[in-house]
Parts: sequence; structure tokens; C-alpha cells
Amino acid sequence: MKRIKYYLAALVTSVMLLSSCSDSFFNVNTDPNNPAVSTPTYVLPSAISGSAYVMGGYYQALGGFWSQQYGQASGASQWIEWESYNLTEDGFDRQFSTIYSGSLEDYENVRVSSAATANWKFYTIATLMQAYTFQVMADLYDQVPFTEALKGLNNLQPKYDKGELVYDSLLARIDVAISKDFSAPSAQAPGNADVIFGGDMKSWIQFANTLKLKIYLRYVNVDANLPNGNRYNDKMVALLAENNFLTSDAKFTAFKDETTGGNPFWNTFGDRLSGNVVANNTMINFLNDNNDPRISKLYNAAATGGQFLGIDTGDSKNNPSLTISNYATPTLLSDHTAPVYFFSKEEALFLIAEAQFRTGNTGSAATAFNDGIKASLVSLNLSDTAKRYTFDGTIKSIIIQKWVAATNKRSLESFFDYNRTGYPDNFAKSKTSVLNDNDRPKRLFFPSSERKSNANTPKKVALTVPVWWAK
Amino acid sequence: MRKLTFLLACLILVGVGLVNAQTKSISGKVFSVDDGQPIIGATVRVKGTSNGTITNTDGEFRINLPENATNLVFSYVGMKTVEVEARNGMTIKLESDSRQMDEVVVTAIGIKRSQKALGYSATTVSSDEITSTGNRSALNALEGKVPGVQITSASGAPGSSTRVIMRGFSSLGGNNQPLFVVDGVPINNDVINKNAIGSNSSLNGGFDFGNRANDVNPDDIESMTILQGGSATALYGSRAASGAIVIITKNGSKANNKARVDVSSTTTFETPLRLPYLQNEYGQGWYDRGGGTSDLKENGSWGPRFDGKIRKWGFAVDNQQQIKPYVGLKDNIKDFFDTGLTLNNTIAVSNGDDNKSYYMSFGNITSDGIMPTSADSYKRNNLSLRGSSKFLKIFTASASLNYVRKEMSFVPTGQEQSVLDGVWQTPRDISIVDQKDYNNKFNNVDNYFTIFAQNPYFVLNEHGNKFLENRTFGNVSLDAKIFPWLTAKFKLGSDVANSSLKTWRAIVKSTRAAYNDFVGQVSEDSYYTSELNSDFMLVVNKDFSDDFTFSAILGHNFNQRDSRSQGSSIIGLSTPKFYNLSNSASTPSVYETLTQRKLVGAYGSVDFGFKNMLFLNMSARNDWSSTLPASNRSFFYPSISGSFLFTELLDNKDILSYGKIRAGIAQTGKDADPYQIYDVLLQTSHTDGYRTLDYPLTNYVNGKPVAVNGFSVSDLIGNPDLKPEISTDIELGVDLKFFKDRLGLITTIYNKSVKDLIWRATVPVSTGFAQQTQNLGELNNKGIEISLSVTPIKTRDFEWEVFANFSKNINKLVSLKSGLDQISLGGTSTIDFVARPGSELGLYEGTVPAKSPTGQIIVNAQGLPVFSDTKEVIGSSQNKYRIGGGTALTYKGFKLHASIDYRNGGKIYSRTAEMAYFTGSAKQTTFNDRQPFIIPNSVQAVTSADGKTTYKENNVAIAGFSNTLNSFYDQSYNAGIGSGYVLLDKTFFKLREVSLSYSLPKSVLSKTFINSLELALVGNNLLLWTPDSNMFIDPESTTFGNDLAADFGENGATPSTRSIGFNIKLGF
Repeated sequence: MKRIKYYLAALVTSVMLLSSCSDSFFNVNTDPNNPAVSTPTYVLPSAISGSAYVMGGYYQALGGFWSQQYGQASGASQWIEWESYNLTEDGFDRQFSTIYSGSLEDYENVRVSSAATANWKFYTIATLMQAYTFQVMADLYDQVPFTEALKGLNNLQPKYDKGELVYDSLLARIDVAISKDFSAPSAQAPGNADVIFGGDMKSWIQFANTLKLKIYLRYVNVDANLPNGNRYNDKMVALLAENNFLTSDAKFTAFKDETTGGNPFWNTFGDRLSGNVVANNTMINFLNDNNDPRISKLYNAAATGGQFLGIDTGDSKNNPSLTISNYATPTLLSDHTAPVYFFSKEEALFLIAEAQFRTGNTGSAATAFNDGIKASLVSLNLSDTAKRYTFDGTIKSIIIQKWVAATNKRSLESFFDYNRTGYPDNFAKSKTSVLNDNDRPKRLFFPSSERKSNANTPKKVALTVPVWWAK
Repeated sequence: MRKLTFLLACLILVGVGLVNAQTKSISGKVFSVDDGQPIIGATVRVKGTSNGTITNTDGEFRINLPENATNLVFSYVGMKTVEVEARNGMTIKLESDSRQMDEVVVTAIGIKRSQKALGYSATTVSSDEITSTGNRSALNALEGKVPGVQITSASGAPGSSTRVIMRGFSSLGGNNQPLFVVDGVPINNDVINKNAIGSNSSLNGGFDFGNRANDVNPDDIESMTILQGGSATALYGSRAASGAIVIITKNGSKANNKARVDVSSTTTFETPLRLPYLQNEYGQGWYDRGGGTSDLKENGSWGPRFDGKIRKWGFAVDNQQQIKPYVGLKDNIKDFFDTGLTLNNTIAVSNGDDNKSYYMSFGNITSDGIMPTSADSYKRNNLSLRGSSKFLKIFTASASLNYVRKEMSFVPTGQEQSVLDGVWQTPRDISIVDQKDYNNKFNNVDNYFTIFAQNPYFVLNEHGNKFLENRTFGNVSLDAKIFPWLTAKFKLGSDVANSSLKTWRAIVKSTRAAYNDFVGQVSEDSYYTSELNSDFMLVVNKDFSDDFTFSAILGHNFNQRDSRSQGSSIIGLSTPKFYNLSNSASTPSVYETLTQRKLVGAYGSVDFGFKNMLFLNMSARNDWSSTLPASNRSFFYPSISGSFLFTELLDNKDILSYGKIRAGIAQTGKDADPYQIYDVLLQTSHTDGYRTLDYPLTNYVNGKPVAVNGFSVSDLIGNPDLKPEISTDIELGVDLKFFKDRLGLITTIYNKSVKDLIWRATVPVSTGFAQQTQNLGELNNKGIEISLSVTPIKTRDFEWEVFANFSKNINKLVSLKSGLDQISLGGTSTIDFVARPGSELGLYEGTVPAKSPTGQIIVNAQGLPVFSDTKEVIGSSQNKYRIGGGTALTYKGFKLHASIDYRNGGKIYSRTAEMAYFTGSAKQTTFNDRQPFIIPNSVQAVTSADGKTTYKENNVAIAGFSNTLNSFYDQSYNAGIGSGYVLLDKTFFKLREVSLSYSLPKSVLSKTFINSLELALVGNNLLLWTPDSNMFIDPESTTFGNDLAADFGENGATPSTRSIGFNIKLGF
């Protein structure tokens, strides 16, 4: 008996002493559910789809409402405050987050990892798409975190940079990106990871040139007092002479006919929040006035009555007996797998038309103008001769055509074009506007999520204050 | 009590030798000084011998006195022992001795210690108090009974969770729930409350399948000890940083080798405790449509005033239309709810003695809640087995095994096709119950009267969920008494649960309006959790002399927790009404999550006692946690506490019979959740809050499909410098008993500071991330707890006891890391739930009307107040103080017991209220008879050409029926009446429990095989009083989980219930 006691005592003591544990015993804190590293092959598509998701979803919708391609239907009220310009600071928080902590960070991840391995094709694609995305954010918010952004732990309070500085930096980055040696052995072929051009770097150079042209044209108000009206006039002329712009769409097409994989505009605005988005009278009237056949391609006729009936902006409460079935609706609302466009072929042509016109080449401008309309018709499966508009030698005629062609594709760009040029000039005053007189929104409020977490967020600026390049 | 003592005394006397032959017989009677009643079961012993007897039921004894003996010693538990010279026919009076009344308390790591030696407060709740009303949840049964502990039941849904918060929130993120310890082994207290199907926001509904501590069958519980302060819980280590509830289950050791069977059966009926008080003046219609005429497709009561005329309602179907009188239906919501039924039965068999015992029980609960149909139901089966035995002189082995099987269905809360959303969106003139037949052509999906909501009966019957859980927890232990002064104990416990959840939603396809259309969905989730816990310790008990006692503990703890969850879901059903993962052409979404964490602790504790008057405890523990970076993995925390029984110095204890001063200071550390240290990437999924784009995607290259997978940098940025959270807890208290313990007063004050709070903080998304788990601040709780117990009347037949407790906790976020002026704890789009330095946690931040420089309300062109540029704090969620109490009246076999709960102060967010305002059902919306009115003292801002803003008097009325009136009561896009309207006063008074029981007298039962029989009428939550400003809900309700976030409020919780029923307890 006594012996047992001593054994026990010895056992006890040894167990106690053994309680000091080795580190490996505790090394179970590496997340087994998610990888610590991935490769650009998987991060690049994520980044691109993040841009596409926001730009083809909420931004497309907002652009459609604010450029009077879309309207809020009677009988529902989901977007009435967009139409009355009565935004709250947190209205677009989620989109800002999806862009910044989602796609911009993922582009950055690809840029950093591919620069380290001279993996230049991935590097260039990520840089160009990141630049494209940054520009949209700068255009919406005027000032955005840029130089100090996306640095993780190294800067938890990024400062906001002026849009002009962002633009300068983007142009520089684009030039660096397209100067890389794609033939280097370390440059992997992106293949299917490039969900836009399948790794075709020639198309990406065209994308870069088109993007530069879009950026250059933003300076027309800022530099109105310069001799050539634009600090980048010479570069623009050279770019036009090189004439290596996109000749096909830059679009994201990887959608499925599924609730968890469809086009974001269809999914949320058409399916989940059905009954809200209909055709706007401003666009419907323009198309009707010009007998434009695109009306039946951009909009579905009303389910009840079969007419192309639109609604005025802010008029949803005044027709209590009507619901969405009485109105024409955007075709994008019912197209599960519609692509999201970063550039359409016609947009590139209208950019060329405007640049040619602004650099004094009216003839080339007219050609691009006509080609743009043709491309728009063709993309809608219409005969390229179905409808002709004449270039009347004004910016207005170009922008109006760009506006029509942007419907369902690039509606947000129409909002920017309006802020930049004042065209189209047929926009009706919103019947529920909370702004003074004919004021219209020119930007978004700084996100409230940033205001709550980033002390460097600038003071609130009224929606009616133009961004740095706008009128 | 005295009967029990009788049994115990019998036990003690087992082995007492037979008396010597040369004796004389002495008889006598023993009385109590206190009440003059005879004492049954008092021990009578011949001094200097082991001969003895005990008094009978009349207090009488007869004993044989050996020739050489003269004196008898009389003793009884709780009475002073008396030595008297023996003489026949003697009468002895015993008086109570408070010292001996001292209770034994189970403290941390299962060590039993005498109450007087504790340097901290510890409240023990007995089995009777827990089971008096047959509550299925032992935690709910504690509500209002323990000072300093805030217990809140989430909703009236059967099986929903119960939150226990001790001495305020001591942690921001992690876990503020106490550690639940059953028979010395921690058990899992997780809540499975996945978000509702088809939703990726916590606001769009959720499930609550209960917290697992509620799985313990209350009828199996012998006692629950509540340990709140750091001094009390330090040995349990980091997991008890928010307190501990130590549950001791019943065993058979008191059965005295006579097998007993106990049966308890409770049947209760549940009805809604609080439904909103709504207006009954205006019926169906909408504010801005039709100018005050009825609009028959609307979901609100913004229509004309009731006129009693017969009118059409609903849609015309097949050229037919229903008619009804246009009157308010006061009870249309009340009528919707059913009476719930709960059956709670337990049978237990036990036997044993000091050396061996067994206990086994089977418990069954079947509950169908107040929602029509069995869509809200709860079934639980508990099987418990335990036994212990001594062997080989020094060993004691014991084992305990508990098996729990739960089956639940829960009616999802929140928005999006929820049952209650359909109910709240029924105008005041429309009967809900009349639409029960949802296949009827007027009530079906196509023709349901409003296109904006769904028939709640359709939702109840066609959407559904089923939760199933099998759980086993238990332990084995071996004690060895190596030397009389040294015991080694080893205990190994485990808690394994396997759960599955299936949810489904039907295809909804309406030809009339597409607002509610849905393609149908099925999801299957399975969850596995396991916890392994071992404690090895050496316990030393070595008293150096009668005056100087000593004990010590040296221990080692290992704890490992694993979890695994997997799930699949499909959206878009092929065959209608067939719910299987195969039934879709869409790609299923799948996920799996594994976690593992390990914790090792080493601890030691020493106790000194001096003259039964001064006590000192010192302890220390070091933890090593796998969830922290290697450099910060090990953390050490000490504690010291002591008590002084100053009444030991008093000669006369007639007035002050017991007095103790105690003090303690302790530190406790707490680790983080797993996987917070390193950056990772996640499979990509984008969402806009309504729908998602989930990888893998299919791209089309030259018309051919190409599969694309994607990984995205996680929004959670790793923190390689994460440190443990360390709290320092100081506690002071005084325990007093007066008038021979008829009046008791326990007072405790405490101050608990938590440094390096661990919290998943929001970082600006412009960093490329969104969150990081950080040590970001300091939190403080200080408060006072007072409990008072009085026994005004105590005679043999009649006893009246009253108890009351008061708690006040002041919670303060002392500081946040520089750069942060507040942190977000949750909330909705209009009301944020935040914490700011200098204030308590859980502030509501909302939009407020903008004011002009002269303080006037600025309105827009429609006369509606505009938002101020910044949100402001508009209330706090924290109670100011709480009072609990109760009384018990005992007369012979009758016992009337009642308890109350009062909580004062604080606000709660209520979506129920928000919906009532939105739909024009709230009484408040009848303000000014819904006629146009101008907001008093309001101005409009005028901006001149030069950009200057001036203010002019507002003369635009908020239009009555025709326009904008609803906007005034809906803060989505204007400041209206101020967003505070959805915050209700959290103050309430509840009559928690009432039970009236009758125990049949022994004399009646003695001729039967029945030992004891108690019949009771029981009630829970019988009355609820709230201030006038809360006309809507029970302010205990929550749908935001089981921790800090739950204080935010309710997003459409099932109303809490009042239950009334009867209970039978039978022993044989």
C-alpha cells in the first residue's frame, strides 16, 4: 500500500513538471480554412470581378438614374432618394469597401507579388485595372486615399489625396506598366486568369491607350485657359496619331444564370429588388423623337399594354395606380448574364471623336462619331445602317450619342460626361429634388465607414459641389 | 431540513457500539430556544463514550447511562452543543449557533470551502429554487435571484437562448458569458444562430437555437454557485474572466442505501406576454397614394378613419371581391397567436451512501410555441448517468455521462418573408386569422391582399427549418487520498456535440407583383464541436493546530477545443416543394470551417485560517494559449483575498450574530479567438447586401466555358502583436446576520479594470483591409451589490421569508487607442451601436434633426426636418440599476413562492416599434388626428447667390393624409421625429415566478409506497409593466445573439411569453 502511495506521488510530481509545453504543441493557430498565400492566377480574377461587381451593379444603377436612363417605378420606392438626391453618408459605404478592401487591394496584391518576380503581364494587367478603378473612385469622390492607401498595417490612417494628384500618378503608373518587358521569361501567360482579354497583351495596350484618352479628356475644364485647352494636348495628339485604341469591348463576362453568379444589376435590381427600375422619359422621349430603333433593344416594352412608357425622374408617387408592369424596363434588368463593360467599342470611338474634335480634326471626329453609332447599333444586333445621326460639329452631339450608347452599359460614365460637359442638356428637373433650383449631384459623400474609422477623412462636402475636373 | 438531519444523524450513528449492560435509563425532551418547538433528530451522546441516540419526532429521547457516566452532550446542526448532567425527565433547550450555520460553498475548480473563509461573494442557488416553476432552463430560473448577474432570455421562441452577464461587460468582442462548469468540467455554451437563409446580413433575420448551457436538465441540478469576481474565479483561468457558474448535479449519496425514485412533471401553457398596443382609428391605405382613400393593396394603416361601413377589400379574383365592415380589429394580432404548450418531465432513480452512489435520470421536454403550427417547437431529451465508488481505501472513482438530444424549429426573425413582418404589415381593419387558408384564392401568393408583404401563414407553412443536435458531455475522475493530508485528483471531461441544420424556402412566384418572388432555396449545415478538459491537482490539508489551518492546491489544466462546420446550399429549386440539395440546376455553395485551440494552465493556491476568524487565500495561475503570438502566449495572473469574522470577538451575538469583512484583489487574463494573427486569403465572394457573386465563376472564352476560381485578400488584417486581455478586479464586502440569522445583509462593492481589450476593430477600408483584432483600450466596471434576506415570522408551522437584491453597475470605456474616437458594435443603417471613451458600452448613435445656429429645427421644402451632418448619441442600452426579490410563505405543507425582477434605465432598439410607425399602426401616428401640422419653431435654410445661408420661418406643413406624413415617422431619409423614436425605454418590472405548492403530509403518505408528493400551480413571467413610452415589446427581447451585441435590441423577435401551468413532484 505504501509503495502505491510513493508511485502516485512520483507520478504526480512528474506530470506537474511536464506541464511546461513546447512551442510546436501550440502551433495550431494557422488558419486551416484559408490559404496564407495565393497566386496572381486566382487573385487577379477576384480583383477584376470586384470592379465589375460594383461598376456593373450599384454604380451602373446610380449612373442610370442620374443620367436619366432609368427611373423609379410607381408602386415601389426603393430608389426614390437617389431620384430626390437625398443621399446619406452611408449610402455607398459597401461599394467603397468592396472596391478598396476588395478589388484595389487584390490588384495591389498582384502588383506587389508579380513585380517581385518580374511577372510583367500580370503586373501590367493589375496596374491598368487598378488605375481604371482608382479613376472611377476619384471621379465619384474628388478626393480619395491613394498614396497612403492599401498599405495595411503600415498605414492604418491613410490620408486623402486630391483627384488631380491621383490622376497624375495614374498616368505615370500606366506608362510604367505598358513599358514592361512582356517577353521576359519570368512573365507568365495569364491565360484564363485574365478574364477580360485572355492574356492578350496587345488588347491591354489598347486598353491603356483608351484609358489615357479618357483621362486626358477630363482636363478640358481645368485647363480651359491653357492655349490648347489641355495640358495633355500634345500627348493626346500623339496618341490619336498612334491610333491604337480598343477595337472591341473590354468587358467582364463570367456570369452564370444563377442567383449566386448572375450579373449584379440583374441580380439585385432586377431580381431581388424587382419592381423598381423602369425606363426614364428623358431617354424614351429622345429615342422616340429620333425614331431610334435602339429603343426596343435598350428597353423591354411594358408588360401591360406593350408600350414604351417611361417615367419622369421623381414622379413615382404621382401615379398610384401604376406599377412596374405598366412601364418599359431596361433590358439589362432581365439579362442574367449580361456582361459588365469597362469600355465598350463604341465608347472608345466616341472618346476618339471628342479628342479629334478638340484637337481640330473635325473630319476624323465625324468618322469616329459615325463608327461609334454604328458600333452601338451592331452591339444591339441592329443593322449598322438602321439609324444615322449627323455629327453637327459640336461636343453636344458626341456626348448625346455617347449617352444613348452608354445605356445599360456605361451609365456612370454618362453621369461623369454630364458633369464634365453639361450634356446631354435635356435632363429634366427631378420632381422630388431636395436640392435648390436645378442643382444636381456632382459627387458622392465621403463614406461614413471611413469617417468613423479614418481621422483623415475630409469634411463633408455638399453633393452639388463639382469634383476638380467638373463644371 | 430537520428530517434530513435526522437521516444524517442516523448515518453518523451507524457503527456506534451497543450500550453497556450495567446502565440506567434516562429519558427527556429537547426543545429549540428560538421557537419553542421540539427538535427532531438532535444527537444525544453520553460524554466520554460513543454511546448515543437521537430524539424522535416529538423531540424525546431515551438513553442508557453507564454507571461511570454522569453527563450527556446534546448537539444538533446549527445549534450550540450543550453538556448537561443526566437526570431522568430532563428538558434541554438548544439555541442556534450562527457559526455552525456556515454553509459550504463549491468554489473554483470544485474545491469546497466554508462560506466564512471566502474573501469574495459567492451565491449558491439550490435545486428547489431552480425547479420551483418547472422552467426548462436553469438559467432563466435564476432571473432576478442573484445580485450582480443580469440574465436575459432572448425571446418567447421555444428553446431560445439565455444570456448571463456578470458585473457588466468586461470584454468587447470575445465572450462576456460566464464559464459554465458542470461537476468540475467546463461545458460548451455556444449559440447556434446562423443567419436566416437567403440572407447575408444579421438584420435580415436569424435563427436562435439556444445556448448550450441551457441543455442541462434543471431537475438534475443539486445546486448552482455563482462566482462573479476575479478572486472567485482566478483558478479557472482565462475562460472564467467573465465569471463562472458552477453546477453540481445530484448524486445518490444521500439516499442512505434506500433506492429512491423522483418524478417531476410540469405542464405549462404559454401566451404572448406583450403585444404592441396599436391604434384602432385608421385603416388600410398609404399616406401618399389616393389622398386619404383606401388603397386595397397597401400594407399600412394610413387610410381613412374607420366609419363602420361595409367595404370591399383585397383583390378582385374571378370577378369576385370580398367585403367586410371598415372597423378596427383590436385583437387581430393577438388572435393570430396560439397558446403554446410545454410538457417537462423528468424521472430519476438514485441510491448510495458515503462510499458509493449512483444517479440516473431521463428528462423530456416538448414545447410548441405561440406561433400557429409547429414551426416553433423544441424537443429535448436528457439522459444522465453517474456513479461513484471508493475502493482500495484511498481511491474514489466517479463518472458522469450526460446525453442530450435536441430537435428544434425556429421561426426566423427580421425582414424578408418573416412571419412577424407579415403580421406587422397587416392593416388594423384586416383579420389575419381569416387568411389562415393560404391556398384560398383570395389569400394565396397571387392574390394576398397586399403586394408588399407575404401571408404569414404561407411563410409559416411553406418555409421551414429543422435543427437537430446530439450532445454528450461528462467526465471521469479519480481521487487518491495518498496521505491523510494529501489528495491527488485527476478529472477528465469532454463535451462533444454534433448538430445539423436544414433550412428551406419555397418558390414564391406571384403574377401580380414580383416584390416577394423567390426562386426557392435549401441549405444543409452540420456543426461539430468538441472540448476536452483535464485537471490534475494536488490538494494539501494540514492544520498545524486548532487555531492555525492550512491548505494548498497545486494544479495543471489542459483544454482543447475543436470545431468543424460544413454547409451546402442551393438557390433556385427545380421541382417545387421538394427540398433536397439535388433539386437545383445552380451551382451549390459550399463551405467548411475548422478551428482548434489549446490552452494549458498551471495554478497554485494556498489558504490560511487563524482561529476560525481570519482567513487568507493567495493564488496564481499561468496560462499558455495557442491563439496568441508565441511571444505573448504565456501570461501570469495572481490573486489574494481574505476575510475577517469580527463577530468571533463578540461575546453577545444576540443582535449581530454573524459579521464578516472580506476583501480581494485578483488578476485574470483572457486570450483571443483562433486565427487572428496572420493574413489570409479567402475564396472570393462579392455582395451588395442583397445578392452575391460567388466563386467559382464560369467565363466564356471563344464561346467555350472556362472555370475560374478566385481568392481575395481577407478583410481581416493579421495582428502579430496581439496580447492577452488582463483584468484587475478589486472586491470588498461585508456579510452581516442579525437576530439569530433572521435578518441577513450581504454587501459587495467591486472595481474591475480590463486593459488591452481584445476587439475586432474596424480599420479604414482604404488600408485595403476592413478589420483587425487589436488590443485597443481599457474598460472599467464598478458597482455595488446588496442582498437582503429577512425571516419576519418563523414558527413550527408557519414561516415567512423575504429576500431582495439590488445591483448597480457603472460601465465605462476608459480609453481607446489613439486615433479612434469610437468603435462600432453593430446596429442598423439608421441607428449605430457604438462605444465611446468616457461612456458606457452600447450607446445608440442616430441621426438627429439639423438645428440652425439659434437652435431651431431646420426643415426641407416638404416641411420635414433634415438630417444634422453628424450623428449623435441618443441613448444608452445599459440599465441604471436592477432590483430582484421574492418571498416565500410556508404553512405546514403549503408553500407560496414569488419572485420579481425590476430593471431601471437604458434604451432598446425595437424593429417592432419601427414597423408599427412605418405602417401607421402605432398609436403615436394618430397625433393631431393626422391633420397637417407645422413643426413648431422650425426654419428653412435659404442659400443666397453668394453662398451664405440664412434661415426663414417655416410655413410648410407636414401634410396629413395626402403626403409626407409617413415620412415624418420613418427616419430613413429625413430626421422626422428624430431617430430616437425606435428606441424604447428598457425599464421593466416583471412578476417572474409564482408557485403555490402543497406537499402531502408524511402521515397521509406513510401507508402508501409514496415518500413525498408535491403538487403546485406554477407561473412564469406573469406580469410585465413598462413605462408608457414602451407600448410595443418586452424590453428583454433580442435577436442579436448572446453577448454584448444583444443589448442593441430586437429585430422582430417572437414576443416573450407568459406561462401558467401545474407541476407534480413525486418521490418513492
